[in-house]
Amino acid sequence: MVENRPWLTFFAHAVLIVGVILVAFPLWVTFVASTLTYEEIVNVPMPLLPGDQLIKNYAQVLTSGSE
Amino acid sequence: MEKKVVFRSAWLPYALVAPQIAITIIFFFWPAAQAVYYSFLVQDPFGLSTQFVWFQNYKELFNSSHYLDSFRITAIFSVLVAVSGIVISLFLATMADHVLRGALAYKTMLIWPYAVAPAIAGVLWAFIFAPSIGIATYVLKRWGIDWNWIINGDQAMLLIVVAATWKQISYNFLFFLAGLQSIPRSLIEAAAIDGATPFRRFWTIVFPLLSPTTFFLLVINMVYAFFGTFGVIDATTQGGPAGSTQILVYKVYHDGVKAADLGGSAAQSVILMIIVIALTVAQFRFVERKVQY
Repeated sequence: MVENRPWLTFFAHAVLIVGVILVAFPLWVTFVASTLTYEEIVNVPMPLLPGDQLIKNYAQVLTSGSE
Repeated sequence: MEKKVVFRSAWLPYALVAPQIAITIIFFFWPAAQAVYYSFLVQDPFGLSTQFVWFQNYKELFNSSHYLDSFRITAIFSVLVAVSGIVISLFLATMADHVLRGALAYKTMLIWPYAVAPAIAGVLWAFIFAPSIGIATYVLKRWGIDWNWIINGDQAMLLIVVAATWKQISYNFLFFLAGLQSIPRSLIEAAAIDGATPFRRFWTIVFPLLSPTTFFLLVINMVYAFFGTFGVIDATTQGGPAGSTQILVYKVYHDGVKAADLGGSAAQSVILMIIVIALTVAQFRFVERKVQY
């Protein structure tokens, strides 16, 4: 930063926040989906906050594999 | 004065480079020679009879509209991936270079996708854009866009471009950030004192000084789009619908493994190999020399 331009700094933060959201969105959606039941995922639109199936799903994948 | 190590023994230097030479021969020259040999053969799908046909495979390829179409698709795909990846990450890197507060957090978050394998990146985006249950599909339907990449070739292309670009943004971002930070502050400060706006400083000082980085990334991204995106395509569209996302490297796999046309597939590999060699030579000639001003 060479000079103080508040609007430019604000714009830079806005761009970076949008960029981070876009970059992280697929990972977040997939993580959320990994905590839901099958019925919740296919019920369009699927929720964007984690559900309560996290341990069950991961335990199933790690011990017996997906069906 | 360059320092040189002189070996007194006649065989020791050869013994020391032998492992590297052996690896290159076994893992590159041998398979490459096999591919060239196979490209002159025609085999029946069961491998029972083989005939030597010289350049017939190549002639068939260049008379096949599917193959020429695949060239066109590869060109569109690689230009879209390389250009959009470079533009987006240059924009983000310039902004990340500007901010002071939270810079580390932004950088960490933007470098994330590099840890994701290409096939997984494809699956992530295919899941979001899934025709019936995808969350992005839901939003697009609300906006009145009928999204179904399984039957629409242009949308399938868009999907793999997005997935491939998404994965490559972090890599480009890292290189651009390093390039931006190596630009001397004094140049930018001098321009600022002369009254140049940030926009003008970027185009007259920063961008020209970044050109070696940009050129390097252009070559790397082109090679990535040509060869590194196989996983993305195989996990999502598998070249479909109707071959509209069948880039050259996917066609090599499809014709050789699925369609059992080994000779034609080998001929395509040889053509691809020539393209890689040309790209590598271009990179060494222009990048190793560094663009000077």
